[in-house]
Amino acid sequence: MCPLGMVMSGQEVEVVSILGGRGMSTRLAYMGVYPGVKLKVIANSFSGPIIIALGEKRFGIGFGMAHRIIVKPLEEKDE
Amino acid sequence: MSEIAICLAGNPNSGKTTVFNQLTGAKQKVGNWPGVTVEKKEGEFVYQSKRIKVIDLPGTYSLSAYSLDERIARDFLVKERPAVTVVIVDATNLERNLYLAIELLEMGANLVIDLNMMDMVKKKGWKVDVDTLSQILQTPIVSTIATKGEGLETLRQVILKATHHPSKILEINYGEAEKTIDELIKFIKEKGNKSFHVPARWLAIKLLENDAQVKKWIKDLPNGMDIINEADRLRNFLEEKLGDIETYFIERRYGFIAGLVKRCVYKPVTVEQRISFSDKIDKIVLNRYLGIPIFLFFMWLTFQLVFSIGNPFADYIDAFFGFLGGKAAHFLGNNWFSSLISEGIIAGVGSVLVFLPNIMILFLAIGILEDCGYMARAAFVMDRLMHALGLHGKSFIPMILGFGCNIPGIMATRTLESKKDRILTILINPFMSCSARLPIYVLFAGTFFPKKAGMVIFSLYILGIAVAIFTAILFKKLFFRGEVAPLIMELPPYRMPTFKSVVFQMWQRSSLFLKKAGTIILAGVVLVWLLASIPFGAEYASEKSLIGRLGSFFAPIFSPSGFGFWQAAVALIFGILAKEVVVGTLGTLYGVEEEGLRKILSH
Repeated sequence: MCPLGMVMSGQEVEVVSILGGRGMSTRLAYMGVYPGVKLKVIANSFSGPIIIALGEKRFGIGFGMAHRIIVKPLEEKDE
Repeated sequence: MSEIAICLAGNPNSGKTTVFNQLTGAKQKVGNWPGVTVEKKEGEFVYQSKRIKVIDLPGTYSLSAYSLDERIARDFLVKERPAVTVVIVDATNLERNLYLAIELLEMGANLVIDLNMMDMVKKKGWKVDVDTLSQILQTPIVSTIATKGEGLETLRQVILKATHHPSKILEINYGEAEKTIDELIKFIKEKGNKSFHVPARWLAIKLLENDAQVKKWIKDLPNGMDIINEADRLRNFLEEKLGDIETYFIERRYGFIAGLVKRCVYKPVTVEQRISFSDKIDKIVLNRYLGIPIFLFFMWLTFQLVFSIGNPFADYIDAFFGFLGGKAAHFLGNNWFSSLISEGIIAGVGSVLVFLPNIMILFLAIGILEDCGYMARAAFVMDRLMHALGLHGKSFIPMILGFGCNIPGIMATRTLESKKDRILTILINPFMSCSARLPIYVLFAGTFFPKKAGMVIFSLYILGIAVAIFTAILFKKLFFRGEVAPLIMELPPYRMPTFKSVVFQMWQRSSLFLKKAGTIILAGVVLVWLLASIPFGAEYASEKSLIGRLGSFFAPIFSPSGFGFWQAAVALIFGILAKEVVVGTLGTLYGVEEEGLRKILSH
């Protein structure tokens, strides 16, 4: 498990928890980011914003915020 | 003819504005400025001899009470009770877009769902089972391609039909919370009275979610406090079991939607998820090293275009007003009326209208940047920098709009959630050089630096930004300590801007400038002409006229800044009225148009 901000581009992850106040986790939930949701990191340059894919939509997440979203990587599908 | 009021709701980037424009056509009342859709826009259309008024709600993802836009939308829905609410849904992303529709149905809104962007759905090879979706939600659904105007006729028809057939209130199964919800509903029904216009179930859910706005509505009603206390008790009970109850409810709603989408949307399985075109562009545009240079390049390009293309047209307009003034003076003879027309009105308004081409091109460029999707990225490019200044990345959009006009810039700050960010952004917005200052920049830069006018004006803009930054840091240190609200924002896919929408926006914004030129500026120049003409007998705009005396009185204040001559002082006084007036006033005072002004000023 690591913060979203540390995830490499192209990696798919599952949200585990969100650090921060209730306001922040609720706001993220309304945008569709809550524990259990799978998302893909499209671009992360490790100092600027992080772009994530949530289904078909793209979201930019500020650097500070990305470090408060804890995720775990999804391994390649074992099929 | 009876009038029916309906409203449009929808996520940002769902094509809501396009649907609104298609539905209402030219019959729109845009209060002030569309900017980023924060203002309440109204329009109307006539269908089957019924007049239908359309209110465009701000684009929102949900109806929580977290942002001002959402509160505006919900307040309207609950208090105004529109006959029909049309929710515009981006059909390529039902998982997220249906959330708002679900909330509206829970709230008891009479809903029509518009599945928009169906062409994109087809392009991806997906299929949406509209009938099943409509059956489950018990709501009429219309498929449209708003950009091409397809399906709009059906939409009008369905809207009208829906006015007689209210949709059913949707009840989502909240699992383990159901028993408690029922308990609260029973309590509300016992204590409540007719003044609650919303379904009791919705009220119960919102109170359990601890929704501040709903609590405020209930508080002042009879038995309101009893209901709130009971809700608080039940929430504490639930949260012991389920954790944060609002998040729990949100998850259940998304769960319901996921089930819906599974049943009604067929997506062919793609072997590998290709990185789309948009993502590739983003990798370059949002790159940590390239991002800011690319952004500055676009800004620089905009200003170069504004001047290289705009100026030849400006010359034509200038020549035209020169010609018109001469003709009028010749035709009317040598009297006060002739002087008012030719030296006052024609010269004054002419010297402002001359900048219309520059301003139109500026708005065209901003419109293209907005429509192609770059503007949303710009907020992210600037996020780190803005963070360092203690500002929010989103603060950047109001600042960019400030380049057009500070009024919409300040209005757009409503999208900022935190009050601190909002106030700080408003405070520094006036340092953004708005288009009204452009005529003044153009005049002076063109006069003093004829060869490098573009560069000088660009630097003036940069200087404004620098002052804004300095002020922001200062205010932040002094008054607004604390954390900046976190930034998360949707990045719409890049797309070709449509000619129609870009030109439409340009026209709306430019016409605002024209309106000003026709009213405030006209009044300003007539007033100046009057002051310049009395007392009778004094030579027009000479030092002996009233205005000359006023100017001479104030001139010493400005001499440290290097323009201690009375004409400049007078022009500045009138600039308080509206910045555009400065050039017009100088024009009137010297009795010349822009061409002549340059010659005089350079001496």
